[in-house]
Amino acid sequence: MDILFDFLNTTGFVSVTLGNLIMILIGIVFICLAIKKDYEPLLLVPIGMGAIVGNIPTSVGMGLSVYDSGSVLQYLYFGVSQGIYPPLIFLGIGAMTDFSTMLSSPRLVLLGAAAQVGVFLTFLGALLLDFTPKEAGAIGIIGGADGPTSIFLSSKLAPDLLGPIAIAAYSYMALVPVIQPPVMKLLTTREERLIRMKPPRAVSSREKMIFPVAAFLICTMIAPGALVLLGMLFFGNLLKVSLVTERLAQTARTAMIDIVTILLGFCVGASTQAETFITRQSLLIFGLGALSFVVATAGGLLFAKFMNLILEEKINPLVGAAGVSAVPDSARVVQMVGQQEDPNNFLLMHAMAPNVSGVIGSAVAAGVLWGVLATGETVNAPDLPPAKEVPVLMESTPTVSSVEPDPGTSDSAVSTSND
Amino acid sequence: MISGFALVLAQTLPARGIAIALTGIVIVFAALVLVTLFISVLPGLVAISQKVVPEVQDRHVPEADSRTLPPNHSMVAAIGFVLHTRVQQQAGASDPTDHKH
Repeated sequence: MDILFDFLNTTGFVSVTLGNLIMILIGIVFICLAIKKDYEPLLLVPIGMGAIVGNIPTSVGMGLSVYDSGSVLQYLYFGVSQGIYPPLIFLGIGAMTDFSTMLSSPRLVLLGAAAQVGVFLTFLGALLLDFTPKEAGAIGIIGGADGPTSIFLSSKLAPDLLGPIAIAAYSYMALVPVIQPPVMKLLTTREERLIRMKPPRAVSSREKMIFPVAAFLICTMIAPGALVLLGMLFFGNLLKVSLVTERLAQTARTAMIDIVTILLGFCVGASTQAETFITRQSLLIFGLGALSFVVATAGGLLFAKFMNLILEEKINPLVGAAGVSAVPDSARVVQMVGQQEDPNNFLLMHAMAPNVSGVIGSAVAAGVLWGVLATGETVNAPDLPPAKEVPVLMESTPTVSSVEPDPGTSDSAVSTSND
Repeated sequence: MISGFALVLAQTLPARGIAIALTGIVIVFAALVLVTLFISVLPGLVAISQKVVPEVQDRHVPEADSRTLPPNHSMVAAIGFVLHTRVQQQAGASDPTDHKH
């Protein structure tokens, strides 16, 4: 009978908290949003299921959660906490991305830069709310509307806030069709929304091959902190456009990115345990995240309007909203809003140019923030979330410390050399 | 009112924060302006490179994958025509009601 009572004490029903139940509910909402509304289902389903898994209370000593040293989930979470998964996702994104529209309309690249104002204004907003500079940098990058970049930077600057930042970034990316249209309509007139743009020119294969190498060199010479993300992005694109590595490109844009997305989404979800997630800081991060998306959208739109003051060949300012990364959702939103005014106006191809330049811009912004905020600090062991000690049951039980990379050879070396 | 707001911001925010934000947006713009300039001159560079190293059209043809090849409609039509003719000929030869022969 004692054994039965002991067992009952280990069940989730006994130790579940209100916070756990809220997080499980949030996980279910994510799954419902993905299934019913088709909001970023490839991300929200893994994150939602991860949130449910991460909030099942476990008894002390079992070593099951992502924060328990030696647990299976912590090994999987290692790719998140060390920023390993985001560059792999960038590799896949690069292998999927077609830079043709960007190459045919270089002026639209600037809209991707303008939208990054959301990153830096959110950074200032976070400083105002008493976050530390590193935390503010990690929160600011939510304005880049790029999930992998947000995870990468927060794993480097503020690992304690990784869960809320990742959830905020991906949630708002999923909500781009809800957040952006009101801002777009508010800041543009009907005449501006009706502007038609010249169709993009044909781009030669040689241009496509030269671009990833040259753009990588330009961006990383200026912001070496973006080396990992942009290196993988342009490498993936080179695999695609070189035409001689089609098998590798195919793997990068299908199987590999799918595997990494599953692991990333699930682990991020599993890291949202109520006791670490439901805090005042998380609420502030969610507020700042929403604000950053609005500011970024407005930044792109207003810059397009500014460019129209100078340019003879006008830009439809709606395409400026695609400067927030969120590929290709924000470009689709531009197309949708444009077609509400004129069903025969096809803006999707034009919007893809600022959209992909927004990916580059947000990676450069992340590189700048990482470079500036990590400067002058000795980066030793990689930042792991605080691990709970679990009693070692067997002598041979592996622990995370046994697989921790040598500080001198891991990303710490990268950051030291880059900074 | 705006200057008052700016004053409040300047007093509240650490100077380093504003400096980082300004520097950051300038660097992002600098990177993407350079990318824009490079893209603008890229067609010219490609034209020059074509003279030096002409592009061989069939050099980088992707490997054909029979699973992804689109159907060759003209070939399908030709095979279909031949089969149809053949079947008609055979049917005509074996048709007992055909009194032409």
